[in-house]
Amino acid sequence: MGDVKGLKSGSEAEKDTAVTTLSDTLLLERMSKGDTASFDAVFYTHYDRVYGLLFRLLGNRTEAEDLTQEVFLQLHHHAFRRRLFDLQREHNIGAWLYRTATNMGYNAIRGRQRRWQRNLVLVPDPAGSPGVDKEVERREQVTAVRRALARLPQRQTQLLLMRQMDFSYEECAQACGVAPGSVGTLLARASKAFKQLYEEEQGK
Amino acid sequence: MNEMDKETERLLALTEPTDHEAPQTASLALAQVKQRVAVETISTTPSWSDRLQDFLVAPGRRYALASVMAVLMLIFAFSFPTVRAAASEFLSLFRVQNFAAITIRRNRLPC
Repeated sequence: MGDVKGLKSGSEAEKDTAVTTLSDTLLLERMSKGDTASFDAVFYTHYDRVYGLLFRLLGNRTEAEDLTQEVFLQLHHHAFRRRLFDLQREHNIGAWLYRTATNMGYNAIRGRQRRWQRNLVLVPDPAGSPGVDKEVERREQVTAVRRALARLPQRQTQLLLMRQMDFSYEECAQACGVAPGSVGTLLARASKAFKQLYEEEQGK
Repeated sequence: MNEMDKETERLLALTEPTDHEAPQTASLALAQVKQRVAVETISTTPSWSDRLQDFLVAPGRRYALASVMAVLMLIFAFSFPTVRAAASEFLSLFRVQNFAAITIRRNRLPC
């Protein structure tokens, strides 16, 4: 799985952010001039993390893949057909991608006609099976987590998920449009709000 | 202040995709995106509103457009009598109202 895993020290993560941001800026400049190879490079760089963010929101692989493609189609449209990145002086592709992915994920959640479904099918076992019970409990927890995330304000959900995916403070700040210095405080508030909503969902 | 407590991290980790929920390969996904781009390029062209917006927000044109809008607003404002009256009153501050001529004799000037 291509998610960014593992803990990094603050300075290493910040250096990675600086390199990635610089590379994105150069790629963006080339994309605005019609360079398709730069689009491919951006795709390979961010595809896994965009998918990871969307899957965490939606919980469905097919839906997350479709929306991931939609995000990059939007990028292609804005960069090549409408040249909006050049015109609006957008400099951070990563921030734009994760912001767009979160917007699309939330739109998909709101557009759902039915409630969250538990899709685990159990074959009744008269003797009982601790393994199955544990799986059911895990599924219920996951459902409650996603319900709680869907009820949070979009920015709080985005911050929590991006931080859980090991995005740096700088990346979180750019994607959410906040000052880097306020990310810690905002995360603490989001965490508190999330736990409250999760406990409400568990109680239902 | 802790940014995100361990319990929240544990719960959010439950939403991570498992191995069988991993996405298709990036190269396959990219090929699909390019295929859709090709289909959309053939079937759609920028609408007139897209073209108008692109024209208006082009870098050099933004400031020219703002200037033109400012001039038009000024012209519109001066169509109101009260505005013209206020402007006239303001300009009268700099207008010469009273004029008196005096005669200067050189032999009466201090040397």
